[in-house]
Amino acid sequence: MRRALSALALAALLLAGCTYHVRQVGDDHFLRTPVAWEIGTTSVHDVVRDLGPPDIVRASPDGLVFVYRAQRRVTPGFVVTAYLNLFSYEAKREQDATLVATFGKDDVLKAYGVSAAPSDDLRGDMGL
Amino acid sequence: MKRAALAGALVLAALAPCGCGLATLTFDSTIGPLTPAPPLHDLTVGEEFHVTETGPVGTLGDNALLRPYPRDVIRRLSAPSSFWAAAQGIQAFLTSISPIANRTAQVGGSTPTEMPPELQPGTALESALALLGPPDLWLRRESGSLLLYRDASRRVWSFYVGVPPPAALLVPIPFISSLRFRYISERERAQKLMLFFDADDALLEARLGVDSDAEVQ
Repeated sequence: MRRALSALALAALLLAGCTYHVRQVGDDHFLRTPVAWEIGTTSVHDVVRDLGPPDIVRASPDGLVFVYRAQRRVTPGFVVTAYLNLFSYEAKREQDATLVATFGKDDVLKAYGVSAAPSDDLRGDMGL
Repeated sequence: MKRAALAGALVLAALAPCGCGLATLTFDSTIGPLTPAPPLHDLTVGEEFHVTETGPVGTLGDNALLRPYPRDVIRRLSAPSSFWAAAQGIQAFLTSISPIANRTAQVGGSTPTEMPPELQPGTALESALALLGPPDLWLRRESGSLLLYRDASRRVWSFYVGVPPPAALLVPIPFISSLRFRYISERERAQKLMLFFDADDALLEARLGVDSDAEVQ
């Protein structure tokens, strides 16, 4: 019991002054959904059927561009304050996951690409 | 005389944490806008202050100087939006002192959560517009139109363990306010509905966000 209380007090002291803020915008389901698209065959409807409506739609004379995007931003901070801030440290980590698909005038897939998934390791979040 | 000195010292002590202290005055007049109270610094030396869900914020311009109150406070307070700003400020304050807080916000509201039964293949474009209202995006092409409706929902969940911030200011124990850990999780998702129409403006296909199974055709 005494050890548990000591560990709890030590953990409280180690975390004192710390803030951990995680912000996630969008759904990164497009990174996990397996797709079997073929250039020149897959249509706009197939893509929307697999991944749902895109986050961004761009139209150009050459055809449509669909963008699926998810963002993860972590802001860990450490502040020592005695009525006034004596010391403060803040690290920010922002990662975007994006899938882009371009279509021709006939709404058939011309090209697509997907970025790597954002990593969520605590060490990286802390900027170490 | 002693009372006056004591009163003056108390006033200075009260102003010091607000970014209006002697140290701030010295820094601002010599080496630029610096203050030992960063959360309030932008408000006391900047301009265009406004209130958000996370509290009041200001913008530091090139001519940021120390002043006893925000530069455009009168204009801001007289604006019709000040009541909304006040509500946001109250919410930010209550959130900051709440050990556990859960906030949700919805932007928009025109996108249905379930597929309307009226949206069947062959539905006319004008019927869809009458049912759903104007879309966020309307691509009108010779081969057919594309309509996109989009709403956003945000959920912020936070908790802290330790001494509450307002209480820490009142407790005369140095570093007591540092004994606090705060965790904030913010999640923003979109609800989307996409409609495909053919060249004759008849509905070909409608798709809700991928989490929904509702669909046409």
